[in-house]
Amino acid sequence: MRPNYGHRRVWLWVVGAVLLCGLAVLYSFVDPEQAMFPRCPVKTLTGWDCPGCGSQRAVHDLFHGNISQAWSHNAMLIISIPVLILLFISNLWPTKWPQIHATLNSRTATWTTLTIIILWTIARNLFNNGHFTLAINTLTSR
Amino acid sequence: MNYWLIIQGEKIGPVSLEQLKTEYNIRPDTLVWHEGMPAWAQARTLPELAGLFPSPAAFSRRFDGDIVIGSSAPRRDTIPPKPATYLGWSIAAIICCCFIPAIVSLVYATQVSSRYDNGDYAGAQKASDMAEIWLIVSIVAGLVWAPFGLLLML
Repeated sequence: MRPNYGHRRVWLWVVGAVLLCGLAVLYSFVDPEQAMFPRCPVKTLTGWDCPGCGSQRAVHDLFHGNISQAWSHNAMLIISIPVLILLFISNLWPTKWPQIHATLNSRTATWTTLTIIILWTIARNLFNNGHFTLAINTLTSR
Repeated sequence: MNYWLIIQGEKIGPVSLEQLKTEYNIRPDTLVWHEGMPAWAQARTLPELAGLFPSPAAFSRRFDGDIVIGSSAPRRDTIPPKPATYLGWSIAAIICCCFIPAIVSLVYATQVSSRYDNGDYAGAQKASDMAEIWLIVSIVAGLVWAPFGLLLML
């Protein structure tokens, strides 16, 4: 029977978190729109937004206090940040706040997360990119 | 041995095993902890509390005409704690890395919770393993793409 959160895994969590934070700090210095930063393959090939599109710019905006700009670039990122912090803390110390950990990882929470992400990805493509207009035109021309 | 338990969000303890069994209305999924346990666990996973909760196997034996009621089924002692869902990492991977395998990982995360709640502990562990695999796929895909994404800028 494998242990639930063996201590050998904790360092992996910490390393991962440090890397992510370091990456985020990097964006505070350089503006992704002007400098060389990786572009999304889905966006380049198809023009559709993936859930992460705009997150680099959003992080940059957050570091410069531009919440509304960050929101327009990637709203889900803004909402995810407190959720991720909560999950991270509750996973590092599952013995300290077991109720929170159980609720966060519960069936309701995981299904809700999946649904919100999928719906948001579809919605952002429909409403932000003019694909909505395209879809309506296609449907009404039948 | 001192026990702690959580009832309606409140941590109660330390109490003795006798107190735990008689003075508190614990259910199979009440979170319980004593020194030496790596994490809080549901009451039904503790062998010393096994007698409190009739197992489904005991009921079926009753209906088969067996007079022996309340005998502990071996399954109860081996209920494992909930495997990792990797939920947080899936969300992060959806945003930072390749989102398609990350979404698959998130789907498996939901399976971990559903199957565990339904009592399918082996299935929950398998879902957890698959969630981990797809999470790694997503990270690797993101790392592999990154240099191409940079080159696209030129």
